[in-house]
Amino acid sequence: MVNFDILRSGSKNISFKLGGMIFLSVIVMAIFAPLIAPYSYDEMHISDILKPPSSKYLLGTDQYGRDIFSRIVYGSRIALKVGILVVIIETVIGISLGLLAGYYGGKVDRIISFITDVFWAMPPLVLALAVVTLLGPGLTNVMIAIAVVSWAQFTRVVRAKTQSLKNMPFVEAGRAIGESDISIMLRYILPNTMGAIIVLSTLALPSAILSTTAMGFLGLGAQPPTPDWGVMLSEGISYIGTAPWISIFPGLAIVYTVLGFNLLGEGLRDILDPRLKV
Amino acid sequence: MTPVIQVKNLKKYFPIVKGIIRKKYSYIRAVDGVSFSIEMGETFGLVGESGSGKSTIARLLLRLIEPTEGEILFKGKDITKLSKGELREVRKNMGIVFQDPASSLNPRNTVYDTLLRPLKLHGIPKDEAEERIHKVIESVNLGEELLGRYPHQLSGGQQQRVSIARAIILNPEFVVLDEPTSALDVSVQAQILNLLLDLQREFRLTYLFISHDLSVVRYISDRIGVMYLGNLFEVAPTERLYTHAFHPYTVGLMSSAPILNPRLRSRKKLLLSGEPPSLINPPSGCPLHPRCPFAKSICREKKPELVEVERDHFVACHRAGEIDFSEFLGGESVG
Amino acid sequence: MKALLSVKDLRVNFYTSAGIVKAVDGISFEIAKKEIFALVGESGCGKSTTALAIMRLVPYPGKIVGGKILFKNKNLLEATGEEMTQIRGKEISMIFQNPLTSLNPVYRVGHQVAEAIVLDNIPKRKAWKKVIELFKNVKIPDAEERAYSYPHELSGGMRQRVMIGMMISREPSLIIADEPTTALDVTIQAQIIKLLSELRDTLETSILLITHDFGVVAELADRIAVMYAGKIVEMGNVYQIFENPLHPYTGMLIDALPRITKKEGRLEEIPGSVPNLINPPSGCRFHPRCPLKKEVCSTEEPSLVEVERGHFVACHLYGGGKA
Repeated sequence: MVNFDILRSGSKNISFKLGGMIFLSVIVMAIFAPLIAPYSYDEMHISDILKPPSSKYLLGTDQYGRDIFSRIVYGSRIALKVGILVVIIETVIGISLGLLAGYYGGKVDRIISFITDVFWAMPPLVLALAVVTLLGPGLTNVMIAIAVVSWAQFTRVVRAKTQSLKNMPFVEAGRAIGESDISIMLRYILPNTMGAIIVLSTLALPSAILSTTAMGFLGLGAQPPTPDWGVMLSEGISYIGTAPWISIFPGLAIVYTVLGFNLLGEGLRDILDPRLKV
Repeated sequence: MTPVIQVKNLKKYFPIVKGIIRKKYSYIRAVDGVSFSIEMGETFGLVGESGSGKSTIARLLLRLIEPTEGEILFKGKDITKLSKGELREVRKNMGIVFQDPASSLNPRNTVYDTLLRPLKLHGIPKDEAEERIHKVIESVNLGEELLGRYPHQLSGGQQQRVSIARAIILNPEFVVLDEPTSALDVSVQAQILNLLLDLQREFRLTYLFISHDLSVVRYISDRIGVMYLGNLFEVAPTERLYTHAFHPYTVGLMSSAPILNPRLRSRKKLLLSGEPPSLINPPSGCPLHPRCPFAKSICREKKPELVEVERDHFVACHRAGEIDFSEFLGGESVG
Repeated sequence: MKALLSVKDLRVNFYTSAGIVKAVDGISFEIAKKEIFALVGESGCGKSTTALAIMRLVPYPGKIVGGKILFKNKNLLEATGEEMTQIRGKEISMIFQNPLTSLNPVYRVGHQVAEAIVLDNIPKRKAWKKVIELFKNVKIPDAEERAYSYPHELSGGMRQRVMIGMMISREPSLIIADEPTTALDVTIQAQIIKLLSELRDTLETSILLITHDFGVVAELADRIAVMYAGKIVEMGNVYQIFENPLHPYTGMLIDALPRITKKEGRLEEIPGSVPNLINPPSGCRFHPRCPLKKEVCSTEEPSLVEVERGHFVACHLYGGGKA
């Protein structure tokens, strides 16, 4: 049930509160990046390369003299964009397959469930690597790759929910007044799986961000000078002994965001649907 | 006049599928050859314990599930053979109310949306729909202020009134009531039962009333059918059944039901021993024979047919009329 | 007659986010030895909470906030956790509505009952013998075989018999039966009612029967307390309650029930529904639904007074205001 009760009970859930605050801070950072960041993300200060954190460069500069803080702030836009787009693709695939499998059962269910199980069984990062190798590097391809390998969890949850909902009296009542199958799925079943989908989405978001940064780190995702946190992390590796701040701060940004979203997702799960522990 | 509903030799077997090869393994015989009819304007009560198949019949009559065998005639027309479009037209004339009021309403829809939906589906213009919603909400004694509420903001009794409103909003002739008061508190149950009687009078409805509660069925029904393990054991006009039942199961069911008079505690009861057997492997012959104190050898061998023993009184028992049940069927003689 | 259990002014609150729910609001009653005492009422009246309070098992966010529960002259509300563990099962045991969820699905039913018996320092082999004996006592056919069944292999009626067997295994002096037949079919319900009434005679236990079903009460109880919105509104023996109900609620509730014995005219309706306990009506909690209400009913809360020997009622019609 998504309504204001959530916010009331949410105010008592610590992980929801903490996660929510982090989530909001990342959003604010992404939206107001030009206002928050003192410099642009690709502005090079040739005279100030590899400077440690100071009042001029809050988190120091990298080997081209770019301000790490500004790059991290702009990087949050990429992280959010990727996360949200990936989750949207995942939910669209996951929900439609899950609804079909759960509602119709029988052969449809067996085929869809088989495909889902295959994708579920493969290690996601390895699979994503394979897909990117196939499509070529780049942020868009990485997003497609990550979505392709991680929709299975949505299908599983939606399918299970659909199975239990389709025999509920209100669904039968819908059929009794003459609703079509499509209408039953979209008007009666889908809205009642929304709680679970929202929870899963908040949990899928950080894992999508983590996967993109990993791909960026490996040089398969976003290409320089894009301030992708993963790219930044990998760029700093060569200077880890002399200028550790180049890698440490993007790393902390990743941890901060992922942790925050996970907390939010887990808090939401506890509030909305405690039985959903996967 | 043709009856509103005629059911002929209706069967519903649910397959139990087992093994990786997905071979059909065995069947649950939920409904195993049932025939009855319901006349215009009457309330036909179906009574039985869990697993008797009464709720399966409710779903079969609206074709929410497909029958395995048999015919269901709605005003003379076999609905088991209708196409989807034709079925939609027929369903306009049928309504259903379920047992659990909380899960009978879509939790995401307001009362207004729930009532509007059937009208929209059947192409009723907006103005008329609006008018009908207000009328029906008044008929079920709900305040208009509830139209904007969600199901979880309503009490159980109010939820059930909304379900009833949804069932009758398209002006159907026939309504299936599947244990509509079993989940309600006593004081609310009386309200709903009386409401159903009022609506029947107002809209000339025909009811199939399904219940496990013999007292409730007696109150509301004109005729009653008693079911056990997917079979109809006895059908009779209500008063006839309660005073002159012929089937040992009917009598057992009646004397098992508690009576609201502590002075009748030590009355003579016909208690059936044991419990209903599995629907997967029902007993041979008469399904009751393992629990029946009057079983003879023929009961183990041959399944009895439902035959008319008196006018309008049908019984499926090999020993119908041989046993005197009058000591169990006295009614409330003390107090 | 000495009371086995005496509940005095028991109060239980639930602290919910929406406010404080006074689920049980100052109720008192006594149960004598060998007596079957019924707490009857509609959902939310506090009858089950009372049962849990006696076991000291009120779930979070509920809390016992006042009163005494004297069991064999000992106040259970002052007992330590250790003492309560001794009392539960051994002195007071509880039968629940749904026997399937009360039994552990992964153990054979015989073992589960034996486990309870072993608690009394009885050697295992003897305990198993006792299990079989118990199963025979509760009329489980083929007791030796059934003891090796898992809960899911038994029917609802059989599971309830197993539960009852387990509950009487340590010969408690009080059995609390919370809606023991509600989940069962009529023919099975009749068997269980018969069994409970026989057990009372053979084991000499008292039974606290919690139910919404007046039929079951009429068949089984000796004395009855009718609860409404956290309070006892009427208490008396079974004949007093059924033949001469004094409180309007009791009378209307009984008249609202269709009878199997005759087809009556229109059923009596009680208008409205059970009140919200966060904000209960002032004065008598039944007054908004009561056809006989007077002015005083909405302002002053009636107290429970004895109108005839053993027959108590809390209603202004009977001078419930000041005793």
